[in-house]
Amino acid sequence: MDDAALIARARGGSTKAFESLVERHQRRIYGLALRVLRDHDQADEATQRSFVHAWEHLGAFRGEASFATWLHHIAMNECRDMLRAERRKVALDDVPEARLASGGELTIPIGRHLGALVAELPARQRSVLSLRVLGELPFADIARSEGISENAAKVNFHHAVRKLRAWLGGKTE
Amino acid sequence: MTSIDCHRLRPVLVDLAVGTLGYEQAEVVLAHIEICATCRGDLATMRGVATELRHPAAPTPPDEFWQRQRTSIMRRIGVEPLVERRPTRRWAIAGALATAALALLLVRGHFRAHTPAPAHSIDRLDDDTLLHLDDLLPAFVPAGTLDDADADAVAANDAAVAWPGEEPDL
Repeated sequence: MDDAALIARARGGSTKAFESLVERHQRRIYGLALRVLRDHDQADEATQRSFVHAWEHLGAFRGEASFATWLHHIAMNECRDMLRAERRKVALDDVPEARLASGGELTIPIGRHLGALVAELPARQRSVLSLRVLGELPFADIARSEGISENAAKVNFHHAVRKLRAWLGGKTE
Repeated sequence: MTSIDCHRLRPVLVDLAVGTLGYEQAEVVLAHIEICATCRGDLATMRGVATELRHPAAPTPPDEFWQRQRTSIMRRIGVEPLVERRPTRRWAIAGALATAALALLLVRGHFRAHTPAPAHSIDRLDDDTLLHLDDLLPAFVPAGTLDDADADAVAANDAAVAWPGEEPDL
């Protein structure tokens, strides 16, 4: 049974069909989350949240992009939220007490790994880069999913990479 | 090439970086890259970023992990896993008692069927057995003993016994 048929059944309330979809896609989503988050437990949590979100919003899936692409979008958003939460936590832990007492402006340090930097990219660029590099989806699929042309998807990818390079100290934009 | 050319080249450069560019176009782009440090740097960065981001951080988890993850996801959406339920302790005890009782009944039935009734238990002897004992009686009583009994003594004995409601003949 293909994804479309399983989705139709799941929309009708079949949890069994949804479980089949989970079984089919959980490895890729976990792999994506692991590459972004670099932590097994967090990747597991992000994967679970992604599927729960997918179940709750299955009615919003219009089938313009593939189910896998849609899931990758959801997973990237979950990863981004988790990274932001983690950075907030780390930033507060790292701030010297004296600075907290003086009420100085908090500067959230850029994450130590590339996944954290990706989360800082503008939404479109982050999405295109992640779907292409981490989700390994073709630009044609990404373009359909984002509602842009294939060429625009590639340009966004290019901008994203140049921005990452600038942040990593290679050169400025 | 001018900077405008570089700008137009970006999508193709991306294709080259991710390995989806056709051979002929790749030749053109590579020729440009040789003379353009900016595009050369962009291409190197794109490849580096892709390699870095794709770098696997951990080995693939075992099958149990995926099963557990699925179970957890399904539970989060309100589906409890179908597991084979073990009998409760109370039912286990009741079952054991029932089995023991049945075994006891079977053992008792077996011994009843195979154990001969005690000879002194007259209740358990059937009529044939009783007849058989009657036949044996003469063997234990010497011949003529009963015939030679003193009839008068017997009568006197009978008379001495007081039956309920009767006065003894004294």
